[in-house]
Amino acid sequence: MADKMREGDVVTAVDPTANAAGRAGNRAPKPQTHRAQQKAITQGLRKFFDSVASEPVPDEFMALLQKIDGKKDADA
Amino acid sequence: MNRPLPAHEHQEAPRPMTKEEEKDFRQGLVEMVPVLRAFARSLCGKRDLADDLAQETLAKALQARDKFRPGTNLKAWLFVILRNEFYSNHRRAKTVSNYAAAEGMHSDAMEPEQHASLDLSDLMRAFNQLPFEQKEALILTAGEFSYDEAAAICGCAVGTIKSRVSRARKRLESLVEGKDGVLPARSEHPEDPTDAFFKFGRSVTEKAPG
Repeated sequence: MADKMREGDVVTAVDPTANAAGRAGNRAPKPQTHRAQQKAITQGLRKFFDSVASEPVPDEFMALLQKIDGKKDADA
Repeated sequence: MNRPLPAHEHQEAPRPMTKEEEKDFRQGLVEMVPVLRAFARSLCGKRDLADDLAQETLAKALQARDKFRPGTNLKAWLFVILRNEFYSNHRRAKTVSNYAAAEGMHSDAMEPEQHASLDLSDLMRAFNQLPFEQKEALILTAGEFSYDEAAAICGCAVGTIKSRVSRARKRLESLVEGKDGVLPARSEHPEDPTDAFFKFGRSVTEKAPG
């Protein structure tokens, strides 16, 4: 549009990296941002999975775990 | 973890396990409890139902131990059993899914006291909106397994896994950004009928002798 910028022009800066949080409305994200979001999704899911996997195993599993251990083995 | 993938559970192993192999197998089951709980929670959202699913999987695996080939990937074998259990409960209870929708049950997939990050909470609420096959494709490939392994676990082509992952990511992105519909409020999650599947599935399995 404007080929040359003159002194005093008001420039609305659009920094492609500033929209990482998705505030850009309906505009398609830049590839860079898109990749970052995809990565964040994978990492978020991984974090969720790991957080459940690091919970202590609930007591309700104990009977079954003893059976698996063979200490209280009804079906072996 | 580059052990070969085991065959699907229906396929028979050539021989029963030796005592030593069985000991390793039992120990392996115990070690896999945390990841089985995590996979189950990812698929069905609610904590109690997910833990039931994990326990059903362990019980089934113990029963079917002679079908496991020692030296192959135990985690993948268990995940196959878990998803089979999940899908058979799902099918069995399909008819009651509307009751759950009416009750407006919520999901325990993400509990606020354990996870301070609001973004992660949004992500998991969006995740719960995905179809099951997209959820499993995403979770399996998010760190536990390669695309090839995920395809073997789900019994489909690698390309299918890739396209499910890609569709799921796109959908998650637009959900989290609020571009494509609105996330359900934290306290209600009526769209996900999984709870009913498992309520029903559980009442069935509870009646069956262990």
